[in-house]
Amino acid sequence: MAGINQIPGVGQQIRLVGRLRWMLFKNSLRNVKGRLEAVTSGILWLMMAGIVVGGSVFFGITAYFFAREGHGLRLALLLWIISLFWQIYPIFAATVGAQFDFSNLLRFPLRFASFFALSLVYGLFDPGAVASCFWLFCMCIGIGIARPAMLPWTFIVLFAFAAMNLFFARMLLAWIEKWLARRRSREILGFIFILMILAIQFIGPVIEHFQNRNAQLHASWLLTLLPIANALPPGLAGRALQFGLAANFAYAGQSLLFLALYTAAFFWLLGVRLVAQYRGENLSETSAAAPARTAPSPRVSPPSAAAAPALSFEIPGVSRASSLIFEKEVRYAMRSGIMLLNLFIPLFIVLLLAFSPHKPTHANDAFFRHVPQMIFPIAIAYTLLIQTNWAFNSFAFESTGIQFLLISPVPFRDVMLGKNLFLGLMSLTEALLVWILVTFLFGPPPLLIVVASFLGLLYGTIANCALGNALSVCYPRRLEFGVFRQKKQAGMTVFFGLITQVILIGLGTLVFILARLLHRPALTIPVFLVFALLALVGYRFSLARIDRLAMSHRETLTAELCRQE
Amino acid sequence: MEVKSNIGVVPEGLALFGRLTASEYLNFVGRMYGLDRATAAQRTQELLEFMQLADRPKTLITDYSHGMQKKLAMAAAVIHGPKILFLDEPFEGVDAIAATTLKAMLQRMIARGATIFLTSHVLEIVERLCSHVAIISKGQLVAQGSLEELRAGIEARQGVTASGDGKLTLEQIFLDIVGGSRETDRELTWLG
Repeated sequence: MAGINQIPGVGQQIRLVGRLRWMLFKNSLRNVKGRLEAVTSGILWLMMAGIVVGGSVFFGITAYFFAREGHGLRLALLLWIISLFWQIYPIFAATVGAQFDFSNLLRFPLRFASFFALSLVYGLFDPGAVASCFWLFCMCIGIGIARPAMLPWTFIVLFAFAAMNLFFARMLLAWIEKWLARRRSREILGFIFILMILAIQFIGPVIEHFQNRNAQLHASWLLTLLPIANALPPGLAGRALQFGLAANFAYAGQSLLFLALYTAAFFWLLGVRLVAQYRGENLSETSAAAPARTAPSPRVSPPSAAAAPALSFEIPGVSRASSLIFEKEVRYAMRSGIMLLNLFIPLFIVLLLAFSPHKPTHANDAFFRHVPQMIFPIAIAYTLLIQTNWAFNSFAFESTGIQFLLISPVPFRDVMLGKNLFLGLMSLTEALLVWILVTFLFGPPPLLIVVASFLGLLYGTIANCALGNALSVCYPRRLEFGVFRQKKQAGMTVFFGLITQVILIGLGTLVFILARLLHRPALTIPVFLVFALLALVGYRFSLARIDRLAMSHRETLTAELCRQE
Repeated sequence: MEVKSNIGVVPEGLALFGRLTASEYLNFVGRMYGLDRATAAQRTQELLEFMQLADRPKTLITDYSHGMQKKLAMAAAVIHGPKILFLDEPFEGVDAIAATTLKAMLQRMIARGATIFLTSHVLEIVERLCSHVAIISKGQLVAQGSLEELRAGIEARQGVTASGDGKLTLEQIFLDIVGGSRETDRELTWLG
């Protein structure tokens, strides 16, 4: 290694990586698209900052009152909330901007200490971690104001708690990455993960449900959970604070010691994974998928029936190409658990409302008195929201297939039409399933509301497709099935998607409210029909120009969708 | 659209839909090019057998190795019987068995009158497969013609013959045309 006197130190290597990230960001601003992405990301970051500041006020003031009143144990509840947010955010929400896989840096002569430190730095700068650290800091201030003598102890406990969370989050991601290295396991676990997230939504309603039925059962259930919760890090940190508030530093120190043991264990487990990565562990899919080679057989067998796929669609009134694209979309959906799960999310919403204590019995509640009637339109509105995932980034899972769509002798409008028809079918299926479930749980909703909701869905779907087609072509973003840590939708897509949904659902809600105020519920039907016609005009306008748009954006489409991750 | 119907393309990214099986993909491509259902199914089966891809009917394309994906992309490019074929680095990353299969198919197509454009940085392959060569340097077409024409042009200009059998190789022709030989004279003083 001529000319290399010594490998740069840890600090210098981290500074170099920091400079690399800065240059990547700076260079991304060279074109208009990059600048627009930066502006929209900035707006989303500002919204996130609002949540962080709001949370800080909540955690700071709540910690102040708990400490002042001596409710040390309740502090554990706050720590549980922060810990869950810290752990779930990086997996579930990720950031809008480009993800940078720092393990790529291993090709350089990076010291293990630098690699380890970089892993922690990345973990610390994750938005979830930044928010959580800020909230912990505010809790520290809140407790310090309430009980100034507790400030040093609180700082030590919360610092240890933050370190535990940091190591745990990094350790979890590093191990999940190993488990999810295979496509199949990744998708299965992704499916289970989303089911779990949905199941969490039911915890509150189910507890309340059982609480109403049997308070005794509820109490015993919580009492069983309490010792378990106390033995876990947030519980231990909470107890360390609780005993500290009671000036019982022997027990407080014991709790802190156990918290430190957790921290050390997570640190060690993280180290195990990082050492494996540092030594060049290869988790790539291809190594496992390498096929067994067969000897060449020049003889060509006569065609067999197995070559003809069983599934086949011929949609009347549309071109063959649109039917084929529709068929392809159906195959893709059938092979993606996560895509299929989207189909059932509105059903979860209906079930959630069914478990809600605000059932029709609460006659004094102005809104929920009409729940059985309004559940159907609410679930339909949710269906529209879910559509944005697909309508506004239609080519997300196309990958290099987009090249075929661009070179095949088929107008791009036929491609978009096939995709839109599939979206329409998916939404219609969702709406029908919702109607069946609502009818089963609450009785059939009034026919007028059903018709109005279906028309609302029609207008919303057409409008979503009209705008979504253009955004899909102009701001495509490649997504992988079952991969969580990846670039989400493009900033522009998120921005326009949000605004469109606010307008569409807002207008729909306004129509329902106005019809109700005017005591003319039937008015919703002609209004939605007019909306649907207007949306159709917009859709035809958009579709007529999609070929030209696709041609002018073909470089963007192929560059974004065909890039190697 | 008419031009697109008569050409087949294997781009760098291979233009595959990873979530389809090879059979589904070839059927889809065939029908997008206007083949009827029965013809698409028949050609799909023939191509799968020819490319030795028929033994894994349920495997998704995304789980194929690079060589298998390349063979499939090649099969998709020819399913509609194009008159002109554009191939971007068709043999890059392909093992020897797959390369032999692909070359055999290309030679049969040429024998039946098809025109094939292929790009490659491996000049030995170009020399072996192509009747005509075009050299692009810095985005400009700097030379074109049959191998013999190019060779004759350089020999006439310089009066040299270089390789053992007395003929200039394509690599020598290429270096002569783009002036790459000058680079070899340079030296990195710090490289051990």
